[in-house]
Amino acid sequence: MPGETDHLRSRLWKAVMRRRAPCWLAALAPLAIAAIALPAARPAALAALLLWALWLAADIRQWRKRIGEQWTSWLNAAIPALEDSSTLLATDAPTPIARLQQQRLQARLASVLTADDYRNIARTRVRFGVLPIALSIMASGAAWGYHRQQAPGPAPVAAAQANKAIVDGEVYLRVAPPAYTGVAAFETGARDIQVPQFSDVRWCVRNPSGTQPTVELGDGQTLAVPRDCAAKRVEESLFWRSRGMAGTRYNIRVTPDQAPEITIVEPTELIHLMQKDVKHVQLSITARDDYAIVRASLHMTLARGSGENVRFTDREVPLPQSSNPKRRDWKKQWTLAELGMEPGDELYFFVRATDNAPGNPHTTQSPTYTLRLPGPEAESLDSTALPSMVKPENLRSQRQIIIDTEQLVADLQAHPNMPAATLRSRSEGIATDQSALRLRYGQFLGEESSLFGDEHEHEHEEHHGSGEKPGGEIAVMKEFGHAHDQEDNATIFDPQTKAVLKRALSAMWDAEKSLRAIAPKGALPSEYKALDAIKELQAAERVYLHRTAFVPPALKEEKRMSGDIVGAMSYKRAQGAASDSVPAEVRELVQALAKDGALPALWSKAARDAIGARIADQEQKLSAQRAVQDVLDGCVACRGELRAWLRGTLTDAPVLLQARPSADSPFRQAWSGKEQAK
Amino acid sequence: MMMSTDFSALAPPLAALAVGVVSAVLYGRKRKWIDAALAGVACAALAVAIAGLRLPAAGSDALAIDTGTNGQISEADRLAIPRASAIALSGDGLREAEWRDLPARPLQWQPVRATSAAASSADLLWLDFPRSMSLGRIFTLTVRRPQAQAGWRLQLLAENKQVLADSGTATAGNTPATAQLSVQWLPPAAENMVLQARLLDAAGKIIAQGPIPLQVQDAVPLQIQGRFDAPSFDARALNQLLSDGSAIMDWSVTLGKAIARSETAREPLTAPNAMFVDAAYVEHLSPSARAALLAQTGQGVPLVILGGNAGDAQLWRRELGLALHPQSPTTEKEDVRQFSIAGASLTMPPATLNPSDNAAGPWSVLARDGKKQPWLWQRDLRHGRVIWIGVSDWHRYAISAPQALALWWQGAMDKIALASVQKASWQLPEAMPLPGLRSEVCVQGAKAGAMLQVEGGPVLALRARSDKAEASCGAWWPQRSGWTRFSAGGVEAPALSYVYDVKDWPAWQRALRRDATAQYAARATTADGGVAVAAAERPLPVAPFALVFALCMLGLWYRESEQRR
Repeated sequence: MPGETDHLRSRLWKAVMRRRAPCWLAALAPLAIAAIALPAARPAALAALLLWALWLAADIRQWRKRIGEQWTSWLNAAIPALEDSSTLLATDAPTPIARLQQQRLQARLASVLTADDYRNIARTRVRFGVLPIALSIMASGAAWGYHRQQAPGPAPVAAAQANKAIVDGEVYLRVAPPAYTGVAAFETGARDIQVPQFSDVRWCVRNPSGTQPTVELGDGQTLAVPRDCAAKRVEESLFWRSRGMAGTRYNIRVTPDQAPEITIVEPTELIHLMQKDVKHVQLSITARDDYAIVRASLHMTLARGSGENVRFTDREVPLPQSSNPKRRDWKKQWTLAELGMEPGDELYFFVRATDNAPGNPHTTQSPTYTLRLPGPEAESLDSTALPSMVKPENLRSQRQIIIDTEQLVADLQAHPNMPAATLRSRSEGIATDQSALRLRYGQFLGEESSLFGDEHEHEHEEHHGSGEKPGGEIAVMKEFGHAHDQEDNATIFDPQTKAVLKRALSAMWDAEKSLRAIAPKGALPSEYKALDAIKELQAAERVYLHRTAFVPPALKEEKRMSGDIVGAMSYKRAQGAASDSVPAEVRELVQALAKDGALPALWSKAARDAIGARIADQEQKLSAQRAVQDVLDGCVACRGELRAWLRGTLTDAPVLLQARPSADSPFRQAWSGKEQAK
Repeated sequence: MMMSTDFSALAPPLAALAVGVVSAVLYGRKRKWIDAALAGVACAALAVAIAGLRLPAAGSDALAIDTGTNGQISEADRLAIPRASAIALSGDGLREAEWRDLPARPLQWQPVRATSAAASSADLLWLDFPRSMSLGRIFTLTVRRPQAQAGWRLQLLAENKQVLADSGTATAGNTPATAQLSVQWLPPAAENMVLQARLLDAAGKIIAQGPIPLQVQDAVPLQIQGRFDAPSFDARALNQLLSDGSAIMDWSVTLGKAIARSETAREPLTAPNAMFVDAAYVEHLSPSARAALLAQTGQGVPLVILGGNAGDAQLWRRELGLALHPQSPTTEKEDVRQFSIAGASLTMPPATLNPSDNAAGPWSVLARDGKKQPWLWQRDLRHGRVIWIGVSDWHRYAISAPQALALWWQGAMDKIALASVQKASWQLPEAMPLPGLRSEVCVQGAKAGAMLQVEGGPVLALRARSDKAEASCGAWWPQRSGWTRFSAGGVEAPALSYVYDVKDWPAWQRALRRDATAQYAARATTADGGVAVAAAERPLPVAPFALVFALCMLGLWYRESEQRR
């Protein structure tokens, strides 16, 4: 019995597998294609294949299990002739009736169960799974996308650069780029090439036969190709063709040597203000060139001292070479000791790099960067000869005062129950800043400065005597006001500027008053008013500077208004000629090209000269030279294009003042005769 | 069948019908059915006879013609049109030359309006540009489309596909929708060329592209006399502009009592276009010399006065009837004349003495600036004219904006100076000649009967045309596309006409056909309108109805007389 059922089950299993296999293969195919065709995504594809294998094993196992459990019910459902008794085939019959049925079934089995039945059962039981195939296609699609991203086509470039095979008897190129570029010399059949500037290009023929070939260049030169190659040093883009090659033209495009490129990565800003307690400073510099950098150095200048006593120390440090001659990267953490900087010093540095072009190497210099290490205490600007609107660094600006005040107002709103002492101290702090700024600007109006230090206060005390008790009325006046402020006119500003200054000062006064009264919200409008006035002042200062420009030439006093016309004479001359801004030879050539007839002698030279001198763009120049060659070859229809190129060089055509032509028709004569009669 | 809707015309037949109905009813009451029928028929026939009914013409179906997309009609249709009473046209119709060969017939035609805006706007184009111009003037190409659209651009290209002018660069970004764009270009040499124009849409796709033939001829030089009594930068700048334009100049500037600087003309002035003087020159002349100057002006050459240095208002009133008013000495901004030319804005202060805005008497305003303020005045003086230029300080633009200044002066010169008269000139009125389409060549100033030679073609006799008073014309059929040269006896320079290819500018061809068809439709309705309508309808013949009426009445009478008997 078990033998019979084993046979049954194995045939059923085969049918199921046959049914299931396309699904497995369909899932495998995209992955396999991805693994073979996309080298960049191969590891991922192989991982996906492994996943597929795991799924395959699980799937097989699951189906074996299902068949083992359910084959009898499948048979019952599919074949009515088994009379729902196929379970009896799997087990030993417990009862005589069952045994009888079993025997009947076995007798019938061979005739009832055909290959078609198995196939039908497999068809009904096994569905074609779409999900695995979809997953597999998605995975391979992702792999393709990844591949596209990874390899954006170095392959086609390589293909374009691939040298064309050299054919015996035809002209081929031997290109020797300048040695310093490090580009290898190569030979190629006739094709468009791109070479470094000043490359040595040779036109050669391998195993020449027949007549000696000739190469025509775009600029009109003709090179005969003898046994040992015609040579030319290529300075600008050109095209060539060999006479008798059916006019196929090949371009030789020139890549000029680029100047080195310097990037200063760190510090980022041109004037870098260092922290006071800093010990190190990071400099990061990159220099790059298309071929090689011969020299690159960091030039540093240290400035120390102030006033008339400033010393400069220069230093030049070469940038270290790297394995790649095209690049020099230098990132170094400098200690201040290495740089020789002390507080108050400034260090200026720039980088200069030179490439390896022989003859006239390109040198590039970066902008100058400044590292500034602040001194222990900035000095008062009182000693400077000219007052300027620059505020010392230890003063808070009007804008900062506004920001502080706004912060205080916001804090007050957030915490209404702020301790009174905190509020008072903060408000008074801002008021102190405001008063300092007011005094600073007050200087420009001739007010006395009490900006720095307390010695000023002492002076005042000397002036006023020291009779008052602190906190008294006079003491307050003394502290916040000046009894003897004198607005003299000794300062350099004009009355308008002074008016604005006064406005600024009074606004500052108001702001300070509100701040002292611990009403920071009320101070804000005045502070904004003061800021506006200061901005206006700064603008006014610029306008003032702009006005001092024109100095009229001196008059000859002895000649002036003397009525003496000695030396002045009447003259009569021929009328002035037109200042022709359009070169006549190009214009004549254009007009000659407009006709179909013969062209003037040496026209091609004139055309090439005009093209060489007046068309700057390399591609346009090549096209124009091609047009010259076409016309030389006798193409009449190509004259229009050459004419357009030449006409394009006549850029500054003038508008000509001219008469309005009219025809002398009988109608007009009759009309004017009538007018005259009237 | 048509009939009038006027009540006065309708009343008699209605009355006849009513009488018939009443008679029939009366006979019916007496059971005289035959008499009733006779009376009814008689009155009905009478009503029809006096109603003045009109029948549509025989063959009332209009001849249906489809010109299709390429504007061709079959030979059979062409022959059928003279016999047809009306034409029902579908398509855009024919070109003007083709319509002219056909008799005017009422046209039932609705210009095709494409359903979507994009399709119809791509269909039609109107191009406007001079086919021939003189060197030193600005070439302007204007393209119009039926609907305003945003973002489209017009480019003018040379033969080598390089862009000469682009309407898009000036107003890059989101441009307002326009139906019309222009590009301008200054040709640098006198030659014939076939440029290209192309229209791009907002995405940079080409909508249309085609040839733009242009013939640039050498400019006709001006012949100018200049007399100045005070040196000025303005006169100097004008002198430079004129000499740059190769004008023939006789120029003299008096600097002081004994010092004069003069330039002699390089050729004798055969026909001066204008005489330029400054106001000081006229003021300083002796009365007799001034009278001589004005008498000379009366001969025809315009006298142009640069009013910048006028000082004696009395003299001008006395001599020329010119009422001058002092202008405000501080050159107020609102008094400054402003001109906007070629992208530059020129501002020029007025002269110290100027005529008023509404000049009285013989003087009138000849030109106004961008703010409608006058700056050029003129009066007639017998056969000549006197012109007052009321602005100064144009020399400030001689260096900063020379092109705009030259264009400004060119505009003024075209208003001021006499035209240079040539014996004859060519006119090519056909906007777009095509091979196989009859085209027209006219010569202004040639006598009818003069011979015209078409290069590689026939010799034509020029004929006077009723619609062209000044020119006589010949017709020719271009054989192939490209330049064709004409020459005629009595005209020095030959003319060139560019014949387009049939495939060039399909949208423009369609627009031209549509315009010509509208013109043709107007021809039929206006000139021959009455005749066409009369021919289209004929009155219903009255005689049969009258006969029926008479017979019925006779029958009635016979029956009545029988009954009496």
